[in-house]
Amino acid sequence: MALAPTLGTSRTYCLNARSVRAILSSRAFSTAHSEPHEECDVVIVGGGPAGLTLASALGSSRIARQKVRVTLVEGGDLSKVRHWSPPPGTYSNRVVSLTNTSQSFLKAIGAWSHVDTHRTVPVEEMQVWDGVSDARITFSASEIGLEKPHEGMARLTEILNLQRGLLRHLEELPDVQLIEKTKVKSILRDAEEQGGWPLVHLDNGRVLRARLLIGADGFNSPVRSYAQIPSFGWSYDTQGIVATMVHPPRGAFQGPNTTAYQRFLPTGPIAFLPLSPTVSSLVWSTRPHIASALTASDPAVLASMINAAFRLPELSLRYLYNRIIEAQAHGTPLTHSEVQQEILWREQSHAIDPNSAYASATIKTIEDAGVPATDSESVPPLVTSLQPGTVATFPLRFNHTESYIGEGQGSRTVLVGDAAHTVHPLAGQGLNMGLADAECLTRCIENALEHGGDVGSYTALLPYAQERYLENHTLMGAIDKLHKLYTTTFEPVVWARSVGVEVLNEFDSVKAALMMMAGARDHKVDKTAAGWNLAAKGVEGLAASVGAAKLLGGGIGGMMGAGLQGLLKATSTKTRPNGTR
Amino acid sequence: MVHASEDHALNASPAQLMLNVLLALRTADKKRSSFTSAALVVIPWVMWAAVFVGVLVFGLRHSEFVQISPNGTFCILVNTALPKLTSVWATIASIVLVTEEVIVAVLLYRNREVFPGFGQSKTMAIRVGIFTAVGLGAIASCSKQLCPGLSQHVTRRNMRLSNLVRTLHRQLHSSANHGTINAEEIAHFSRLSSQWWDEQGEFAYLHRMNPVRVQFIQDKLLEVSREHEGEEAPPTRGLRGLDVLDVGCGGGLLSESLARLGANTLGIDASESNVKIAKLHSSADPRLEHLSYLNAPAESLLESSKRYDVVCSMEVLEHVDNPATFLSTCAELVKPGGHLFLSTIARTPLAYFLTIFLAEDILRKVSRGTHTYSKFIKPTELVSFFQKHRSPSDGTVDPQYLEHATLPKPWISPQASPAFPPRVEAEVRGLIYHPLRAKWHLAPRDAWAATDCNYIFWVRKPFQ
Repeated sequence: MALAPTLGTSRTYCLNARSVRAILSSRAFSTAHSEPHEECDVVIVGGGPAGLTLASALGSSRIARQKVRVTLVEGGDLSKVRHWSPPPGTYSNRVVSLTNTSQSFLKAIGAWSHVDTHRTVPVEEMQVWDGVSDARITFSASEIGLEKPHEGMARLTEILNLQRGLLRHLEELPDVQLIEKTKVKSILRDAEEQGGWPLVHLDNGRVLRARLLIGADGFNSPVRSYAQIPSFGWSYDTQGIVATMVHPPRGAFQGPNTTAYQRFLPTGPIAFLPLSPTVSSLVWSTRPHIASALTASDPAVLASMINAAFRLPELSLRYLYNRIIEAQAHGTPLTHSEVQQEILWREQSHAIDPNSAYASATIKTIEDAGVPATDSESVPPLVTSLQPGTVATFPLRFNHTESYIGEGQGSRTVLVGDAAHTVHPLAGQGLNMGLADAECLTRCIENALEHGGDVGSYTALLPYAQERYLENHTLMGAIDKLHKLYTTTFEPVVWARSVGVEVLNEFDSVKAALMMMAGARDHKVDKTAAGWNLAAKGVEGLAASVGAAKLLGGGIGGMMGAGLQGLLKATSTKTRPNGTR
Repeated sequence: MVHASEDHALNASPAQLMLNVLLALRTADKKRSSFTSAALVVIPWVMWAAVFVGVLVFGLRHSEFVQISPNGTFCILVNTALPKLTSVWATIASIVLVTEEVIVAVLLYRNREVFPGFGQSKTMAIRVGIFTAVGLGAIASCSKQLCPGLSQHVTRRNMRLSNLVRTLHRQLHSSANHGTINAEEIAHFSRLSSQWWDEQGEFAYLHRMNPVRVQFIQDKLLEVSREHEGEEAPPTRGLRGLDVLDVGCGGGLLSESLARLGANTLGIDASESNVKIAKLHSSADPRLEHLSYLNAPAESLLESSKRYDVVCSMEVLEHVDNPATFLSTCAELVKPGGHLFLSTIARTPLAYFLTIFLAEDILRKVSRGTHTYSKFIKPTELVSFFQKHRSPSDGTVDPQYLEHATLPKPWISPQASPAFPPRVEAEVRGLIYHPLRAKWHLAPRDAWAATDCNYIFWVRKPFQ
């Protein structure tokens, strides 16, 4: 980001950590600011999903609307997003899975009604399997005890659809000031006598004096540089490939296209996210050299490779990657038919039945498919083509700031979303974490306002950091470990993780607990209530297994089970809160 | 040998415990005679039973010395040498007991490999822990009884104020007409004034306490407006438009919050530097137009006729001289039907432990000398002050009708127990700090021991 280094007599922080330190050491005390400025209570920098959600949450909160003036600054042209209208049947390549927790938050702030739900798909089932051992775990919305299973465990949608919905919602909230196509030129600190509040200098000459400056400005956050919040992290030796895939609809004997698939290959996970009956989205994380070779080849070749990556044994995939890389190095990239030949040959050598769902060398059209292969549900539909212009790559990294709240010289700042944390996309949690941040920060600001607090003060913001930091860190750590666990082919590790997954797959209550942690529940339930519910479920299972014994003698066990279950359920209803808003 | 220790596992005396351990550890060839073992097991029980029976017999024969303890759970012997004797005996026994515990613990630890199984050593560890705690507690309580001056020795550095401990109660009910400002306290807070707005520094606890205090004020105002206008009352305006006085505003932590909620707030403080800091800080905030500050003692406001809907004095009472005068001054500044909010610290060992020993001496979170134990005030003392306190009559009554004029009502009805003032007249609620959440909580009403440390107090001035 190019930034003008100095401005007038005020102390300047160029938004770059090294020069900040240099300026800090040599800065002289200066007096009150000279330029006229606008008093803004809350300034949000960044119009991404997290920033827009925060703005609309604050705008729809009664107390926040009364007591604070919210301004959002975005460098890009948001009208493009606001008037985004893709041709029918085409989909953007940036897709997000919104957990039910995130959805209910968006509903609560009134933004969800502006999101085009025809362009969203509920995830009713998830199939996740090991690329080396094929150990598989299945999550199904109907099995994990959700109140509304047809609403799915999460909902897939394009980020643009969400952003457009949020912008439409913001149009109804005139109290929120939206400054777009305007970059933040620099952020300075007001004179000490003026309280040292952040002064946001925009490139159109306006100066915003912020009681609270919120950084929702992504990985290279200028607000974070101003607040001098250090962060730690690493980049994975991995690139993510995204694309919009076109495939024939599921046959009459199969379920609808509402199953998400993910296969953990040693090079990184490949995921298939349904968007409509015939269109799905790809997120394929793999080594950079493989990613560049795949994206450089013909889209038809990539489509074949996607099919193969969900089906062929890992050994053959490695062979295919090498074939493609070598051919490109020799200047004779493989054609589609050559790749299909290679795949066919690999399938024959692995003795894969050409009629099985694991065969992808010949694409069977829906007419002659007839009754599908028995295992057709365990792999995604065969991709026939990629929507033109949708193939893209991005680097994957792990990054977490050491704190969410600025202190000392960077006081009155707070970070949300990617400005605070960047995570591997394998669990689809990055954006949901950002939305959860926005939810929590809104709650925190409301609480402070109710008690006459200063929303920029450390005390007012502390609950936000307390609630979110550990939760985000735990999730990020788990995702990171998952990535590391699955990128190894070391035999004992593969064995251990496969046994673990197969055992886990048999425990519905544990799976339900996992999904609950991943936000499948549609509202933020009291953790104890949810726990009691799970315990009740467990007893239910116990009672079912006791059912056999009941036939043989007595039935005391079953009665006890039922009694206990009733007791636990009663406890859970008692401890359930009356609703969050 | 293993059997030996298991057989006696039910016996709970530490002497037996030690015996068991010693037995278990002994090599097989050196055998103690069964008589010695039996004696060692029996003697502590016999001694204990003897004392018990002795006290019982004495109590039965001299019933005039027996009194029921204040909480009604046990009896005590008063005006005899027996409690002293028991204390001496119990202290000695406890010292022996703790020594034995230490020996047992050391033996157990050093021979942890020899002892069978984890389960038993765990039980033993629990028993050792329980006995040590009981023993230490006994020593502490006995020694307190033996040397009553000890508690004062603990607060030796406050000795010069120890006369205040004795005279405090008297002072609370006298209305000596001295100033309430303690020059040393003012100097202390003036020194710290630059840190008022460092939210992670000296005053972090106050910053975090602020939302709870405001919540309490809002709750009480809402409750009272409901009482007057019924549950169907229109959405309360809360503090909006009320005249609020914050006595001892310090850096203005509370005053700013009250002003943000719409109250016309005046913060006064006897320290000039505090007021300077408060003014400077509020000037940076464009939303604080209803806030002003004054460097003056509270008494000086009595000269003007201006009275306030709400008078707050948070964490001030424990820093003033002549608390009774101070309370009368604050009470005088409240409009009839208005509210007085006070928060301070109770004079209890728990408060000493938490606010002085832990916060100042051990954790050093608060500067030494911030609190003085003897100046802490118990909630019951505050309540009984207001049970006697009557607003001075304003002199509008014609002298000839004076005998017909009713005396102004006391603020809290005198019939009520000071521990449970009537809900419509006054309320005491504990403030409890949760160190892991770094957050203060308003304890539920009548929560056990909640008001033993920090507490907040509300009282309403009667209309006439």
